Amino acid sequence: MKLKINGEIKEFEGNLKNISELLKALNVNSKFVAVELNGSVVYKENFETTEVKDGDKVEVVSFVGGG
Amino acid sequence: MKPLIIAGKEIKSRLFIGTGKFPSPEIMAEALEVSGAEIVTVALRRVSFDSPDPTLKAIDFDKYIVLPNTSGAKDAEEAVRLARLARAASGINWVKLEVTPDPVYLLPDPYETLKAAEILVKEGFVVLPYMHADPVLAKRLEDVGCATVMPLAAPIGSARGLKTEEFIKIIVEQANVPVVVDAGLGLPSHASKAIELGADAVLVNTAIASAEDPVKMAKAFKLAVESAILGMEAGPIEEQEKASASSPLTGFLD
Repeated sequence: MKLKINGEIKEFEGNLKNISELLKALNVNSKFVAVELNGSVVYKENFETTEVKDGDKVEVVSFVGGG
Repeated sequence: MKPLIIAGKEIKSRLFIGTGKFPSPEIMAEALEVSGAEIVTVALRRVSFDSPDPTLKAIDFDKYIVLPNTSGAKDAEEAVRLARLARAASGINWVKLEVTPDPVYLLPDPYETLKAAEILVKEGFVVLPYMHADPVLAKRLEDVGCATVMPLAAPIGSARGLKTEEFIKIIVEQANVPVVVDAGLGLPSHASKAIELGADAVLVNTAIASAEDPVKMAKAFKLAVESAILGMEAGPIEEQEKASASSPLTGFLD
């Protein structure tokens, strides 16, 4: 399946069911990570239950050093 | 020293530190430790899957009050979006609101900042807005429920010191929320001066992070801020036009 993640198209083998599976496939620890799916914030408690579909736009953000 | 209260929370250190631009996460962690700061700011960015930012791991979220900023936001909508994402990522509902559409001087947009502040306060955020040293805007931000006001001393990272001194004095005189001087401080003496003008705290990033020895500079700022706070608490004497002898004027030799 293809997803647009942080502005780039990424292709995944097989189907990822939900946000949790996607983060695992991206090798991202969900601590201190926020996800936006097609423009809406997905809260952590819903990572397991929020489905991702082919063509979805996903933003994965976290903290960096900053003033 | 008297603690500072922001949104009901007691803050002992009057020095807030930004975590950008440090030469390494280790140096940043040591500088934070030495500075005695309790509030540290962070930014929110897209995760780089190939090379994740190492700064995050070096910040102890249990030890510090982590204050996410909305840097990069060019209007209210983007700032609100970033604040919501920061809260979703961390559970932290404090936000340093920054809306800086101007890429050259990074000056904050007053209208968009006020608009975003109003929305975020309604959504339950504790909002600390970065703003120009405009006393009227400070009142407006206070009126919509901001927890502090954070007027700039000079453009971000410019190290030029308190170019806005006269206006910061007016903000201090009128404010009912803590005043945190943010941006443009370059030297420890600039931080002292801000406190001596009546500011409650200062936020420093570049002056520490980009110093030759960030750890030593963090300590220098800590001492400067503490010394200014102690001095203000001690009740400074009034300025006088003429000399007044500090030695007795009696008992001279003939």
